[in-house]
Amino acid sequence: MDALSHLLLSFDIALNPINLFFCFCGCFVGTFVGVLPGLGPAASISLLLPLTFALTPVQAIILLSGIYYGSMFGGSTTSILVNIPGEASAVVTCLDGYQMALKGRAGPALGIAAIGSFVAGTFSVVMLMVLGPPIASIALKFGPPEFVSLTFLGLTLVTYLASGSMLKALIMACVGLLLGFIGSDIVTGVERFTLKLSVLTDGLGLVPVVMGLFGISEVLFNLEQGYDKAEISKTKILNIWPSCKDLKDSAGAVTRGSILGFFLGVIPGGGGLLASFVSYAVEKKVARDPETFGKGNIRGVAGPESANNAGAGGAFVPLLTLGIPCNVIMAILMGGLIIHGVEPGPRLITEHQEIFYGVVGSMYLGNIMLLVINLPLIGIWVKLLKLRYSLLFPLILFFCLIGVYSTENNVLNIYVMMIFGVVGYLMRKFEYEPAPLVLALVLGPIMERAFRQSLIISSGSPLIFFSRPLSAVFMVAAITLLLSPIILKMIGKERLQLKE
Amino acid sequence: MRKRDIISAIFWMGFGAIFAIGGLQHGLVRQGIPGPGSLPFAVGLICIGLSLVVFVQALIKESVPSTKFFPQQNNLIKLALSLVAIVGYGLLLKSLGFVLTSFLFLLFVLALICREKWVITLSFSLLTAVLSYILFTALKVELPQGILGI
Repeated sequence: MDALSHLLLSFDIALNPINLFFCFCGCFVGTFVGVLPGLGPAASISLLLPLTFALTPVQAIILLSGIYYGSMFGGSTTSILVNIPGEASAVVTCLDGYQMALKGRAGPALGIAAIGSFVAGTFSVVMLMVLGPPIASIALKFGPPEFVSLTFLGLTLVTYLASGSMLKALIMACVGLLLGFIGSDIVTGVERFTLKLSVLTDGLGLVPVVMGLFGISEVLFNLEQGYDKAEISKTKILNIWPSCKDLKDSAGAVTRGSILGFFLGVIPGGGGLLASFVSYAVEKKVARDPETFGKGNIRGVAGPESANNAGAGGAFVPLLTLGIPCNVIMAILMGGLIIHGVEPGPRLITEHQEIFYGVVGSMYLGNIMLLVINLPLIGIWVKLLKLRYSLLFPLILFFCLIGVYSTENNVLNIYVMMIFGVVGYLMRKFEYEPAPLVLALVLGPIMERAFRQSLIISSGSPLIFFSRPLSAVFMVAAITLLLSPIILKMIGKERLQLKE
Repeated sequence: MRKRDIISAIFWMGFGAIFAIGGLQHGLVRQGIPGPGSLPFAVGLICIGLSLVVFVQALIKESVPSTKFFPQQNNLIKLALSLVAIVGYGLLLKSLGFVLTSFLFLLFVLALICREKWVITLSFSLLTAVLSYILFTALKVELPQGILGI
């Protein structure tokens, strides 16, 4: 099949009326989640995951991915109008977006954020379609050792790029792996660490853990901090379309943001947040007027907004081609696909073509839908900000409860979620990030199976991970990354001694 | 952060130790290949080792004035009440059924935690419980019927 037939196939799947409906629902909910501070995409995707069990895998992934890239699109609205990022990757947009709003240019800021997001989103889908099949065909040659070392490298990258302490992120990855060992052993069938609880026999459910760590802990944290109603910028949004000068000024930023964002999105641990920060730094660096950044420069909105949307598209590449989620949301999507009986990996494109091309096609259409949902309906989204948190959080709690119950119709899952809610809340207090834990929890069982298969092949010799060229490259890269903080520290000390 | 790092490091050391010991009990090697306890044992040990580094670093590090662990102590009661509401939901769901439990849960949260007006509390709870029942039933989600039989 050539590129054109792939494109036709993707549109054929995405234009199916039911798929189109779920794509719209995903984009709409995503924008809603993105606009609303206090409800991130990770929590809302896990919240809606149980509702997708009645759907086909294609419909489910179209809906859930729509929420993801929709939230990236909508996240900028609150950053620009209220100076509160709707979700983490829109933090940078506050810097110049809010300043533009204060100067009466909220319209062009929202407009360029939407246009940039659309261009970047479309670019990332094209790249996903171009790069996906060749990467998957290379990955098909991977054996269990390559898979173990690649997963190990992925987890290392996630901890390396963690915003806090790398050491703490590594502990979280270990905790996630350990939690992944709970349940029946995949090789011998022996029950491990189940405390004789039926709910743990098949392992710790991803949904209760994610809902607890992201949904419940967020509610607990907001309750403790006290919630205030957001002050909406009094500026009237007169003209949403940026002027020709604005478009000309932003063209470079959108292009750079799209390319940068896509590649940073592909890296495990990268994604929208890192992409938007790097893009802002790049824009400031290449600008002739860096002093205007932070004071309402349109490029400070265009670059990061394009980058985080391109990053969202890029994040699908490792998931759909290698079966490796590079951020929490991808881990939840992977968990969702596994629940639906589809294992993401190199075979996905050949064995479940409808899923890969369904996502691609829905993303093309979804980006157009988002443009329509976001720009003309901006007034509705702004009104949404007036929704009181005191009415919102009981709903979040309620949907978490019913969502987690309906995964297995088991009340015990409610308690598992609550425990992880408290754990997540405390982790925030003790400055531990939940992302490496969730990624390791999802990857743990798959990695363990591949690890033990590798050792069966090598009759118990761990050297198999270094004797195969590709596996060795991944392993050496991971070990170098792990040791890099120590090496850098030693080099720093030596330099200091030399100076003295 | 010194004290917080020490406490958390001790907790994760204990957590790693449980899995390492459990791994030993499940067997590290079976018929010459890694047994079901091999990886839990190894990862448990790594977890202990990493936590130990955090612990030692925290001991060496000079104590710096950190932010209060609970800056808004007055709101802690809200936290406790929301956990009570979750446990209550779990306990009552099977016996009272979805609609009634959901209604009572929302009533409890809105009245005691949010302190909303009674009109809002009652109407919001009733509407949400009924509408969500209709939505979930339409989505073919199996919901417990309980004493109301719906």
